[in-house]
Amino acid sequence: MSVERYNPREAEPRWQQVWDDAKSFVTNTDDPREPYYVLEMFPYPSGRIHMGHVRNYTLGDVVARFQRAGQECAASHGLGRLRLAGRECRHGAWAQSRHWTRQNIGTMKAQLKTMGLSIDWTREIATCEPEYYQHQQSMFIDMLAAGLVTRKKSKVNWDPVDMTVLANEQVIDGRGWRSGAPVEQRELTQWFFKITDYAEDLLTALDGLTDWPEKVRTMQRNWIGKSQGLAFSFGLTGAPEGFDTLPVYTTRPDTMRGPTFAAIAADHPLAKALAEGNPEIAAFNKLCQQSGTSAEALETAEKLGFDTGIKVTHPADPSWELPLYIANFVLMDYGTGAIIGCPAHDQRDSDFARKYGLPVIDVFQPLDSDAAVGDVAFTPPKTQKVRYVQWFGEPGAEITCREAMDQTLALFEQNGWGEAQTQYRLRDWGLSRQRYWGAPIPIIHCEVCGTLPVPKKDLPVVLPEDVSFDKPGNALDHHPTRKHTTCPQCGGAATHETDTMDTFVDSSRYFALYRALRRPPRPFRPWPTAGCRWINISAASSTRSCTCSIRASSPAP
Amino acid sequence: MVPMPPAGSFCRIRLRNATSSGPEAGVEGASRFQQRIWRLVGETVEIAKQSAGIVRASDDDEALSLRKVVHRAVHNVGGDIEGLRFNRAVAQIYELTNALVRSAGLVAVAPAARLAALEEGVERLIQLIAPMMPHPAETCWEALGKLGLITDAHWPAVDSALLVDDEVTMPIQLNGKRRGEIVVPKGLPAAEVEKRVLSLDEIVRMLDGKAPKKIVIVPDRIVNVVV
Repeated sequence: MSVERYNPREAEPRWQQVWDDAKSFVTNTDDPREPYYVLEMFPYPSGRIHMGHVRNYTLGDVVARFQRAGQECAASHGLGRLRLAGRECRHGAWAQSRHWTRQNIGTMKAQLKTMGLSIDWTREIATCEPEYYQHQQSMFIDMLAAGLVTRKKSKVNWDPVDMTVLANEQVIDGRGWRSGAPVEQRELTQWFFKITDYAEDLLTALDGLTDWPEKVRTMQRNWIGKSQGLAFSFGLTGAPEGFDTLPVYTTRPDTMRGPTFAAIAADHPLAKALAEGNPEIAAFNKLCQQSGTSAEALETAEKLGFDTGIKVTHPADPSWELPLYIANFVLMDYGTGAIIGCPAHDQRDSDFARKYGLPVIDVFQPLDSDAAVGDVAFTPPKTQKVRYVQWFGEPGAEITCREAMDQTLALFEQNGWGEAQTQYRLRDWGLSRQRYWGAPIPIIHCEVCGTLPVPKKDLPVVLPEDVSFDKPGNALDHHPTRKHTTCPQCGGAATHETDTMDTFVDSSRYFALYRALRRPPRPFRPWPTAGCRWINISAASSTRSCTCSIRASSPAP
Repeated sequence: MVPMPPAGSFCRIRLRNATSSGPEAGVEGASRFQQRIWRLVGETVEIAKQSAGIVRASDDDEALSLRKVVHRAVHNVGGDIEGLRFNRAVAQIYELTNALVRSAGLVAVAPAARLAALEEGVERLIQLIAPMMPHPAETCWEALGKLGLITDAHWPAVDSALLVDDEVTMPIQLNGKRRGEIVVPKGLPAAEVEKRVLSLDEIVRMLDGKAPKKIVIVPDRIVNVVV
């Protein structure tokens, strides 16, 4: 035996060739052993592999090779890639996006191969190919039929220069992250997955995910944001016709003796009605709509309010009147778009009250002090005992906020002043994107028959490649012919939906496809992984809601 | 195209250091480790060649203790990979490598039992590194004269009898200060432990001909000598 050094430059390509020739990593579906499926997050074809890829795929490969060698398991090691690098690149490059994406895939694949990963490349998928996204279109149609897809008006961040919708994270200091233009709040008719139907399922299922890190589970719990609270209505004095009451939801019924004002969102129907006859209010509403709606933006933005002059009356005491403001920190999407302002125990309310000279009423105080609250609101944990000085129960009671909330809720229900309600912060998943890069939403709009799904026999609705990007906006909308079709019902002239799906839809289902693809005679089954042990390296949260919905709309495999 | 490190497998074992030091240091360490294993394989093949047909006095105890180390490592690394504790798996592999290198370094020609244990150990080591460093593993597998690809080989079986730890290391204290240790079979009676301790060179030297005042022995735990 020679004493030469081990030479990786010679050995690595040689063994890779040997493995390739022996088809070592092609999944043998006839293997009698229990299948084992290693799933890793597929790469985004941004062009080059980086050390993060090397790290992740190495870890997955160690597990896959170990399981292949194991006594009772076979490994099928999946890898695919995500389309739509477009979000990060400039207009010039967008024009050749598909070509560009495929080129990147080629480069990255060559790089990954030098690592000698035990990947079954015969099951490679690319989400930009119709053979991948046709399933998605089919699922969309199934979910539409099952009532899990809906179309509704919704407020979005609109970049007037790029002419596209921006996610909250893409609005920085009120400006579009790419164009730098001031972002507007616009109402658009959009498609949604009704993931809120599954809010409780998503929440309770977290208990079973014992392998997930606790911080991720906490993040998910907060994202679902289940709360038990009080739903009630303020009476209205001096409001326009048609507005007799103002429904409100609060998570803190124990503070119902502490409000000193009420506030509504700038796009609340009442605010809009008021704006019609009052240019000052109209201007204020417009100002509110120009700032971002992310939690961070709301936290840091200066609190702005407009006194409408309208008075609201307390449900427990109609003679108790409070001023009604329009405020920039109230969101139409949360609760009912109206809040009670209790400055002593909420920092935002406190800042607002100090700015507009509104009174502050202490509802409860620490056990060891009877000093009134200052500029910092008193917000102890709900499990901490405090002394209640202004509430509907026994004065001076020393109990926890949690207990006081339960008692107040019961009292309000008893007297018919309001009722207990469960709410979730989770919102439906807006999947419409007004851009070219995404799976076309398989919908036809007919002036006579309305909004219809594309018949399944006509799938896939293919994204055209002959598009131009010489003007901003959605290239599908500008395309000379692509938009026009005939109505599947009446045969008259109709148009294709030009919105495409959020690319998170692409990436929330690929795990199910590695085992189903490349076998054309077999119909697509949503749970081809059922019954096998598998490991998911890097789980995505959006996947949970999506698969939940897919499961609900599909017959059991 | 940004060149990848020439050895993708460098990146595999380097994960051990990925968070604690710079990537270059990790790659260098991984490269050195590859060469170390490669040399070990070469030495093992050489010892086997030299030992062929030569009958030597057996040292079955040495062989047995090496086999215990090997089987313990196979058992632990399997569990660690299954439990996604990769750093621990790598640490076990390093330890096994040290033991094998030490063992191979002690002899140029080995008795049959010793050689068999060494060969088994090196073969197992290559199987343990295969999920993490598949390329050098294949090269080593080939050099060891194994048939087929290591990629297709089954994970090695563990002889559970070899996992039983039947020896204990007892520290020896002289007037409350630790002066040495002794390896004895588990459950050895105090009288027998005392006899063995008093016959140890270093203890004899330290007692300097005097009889100890008292010897306290906690079986399987510790020996206290008072002078």
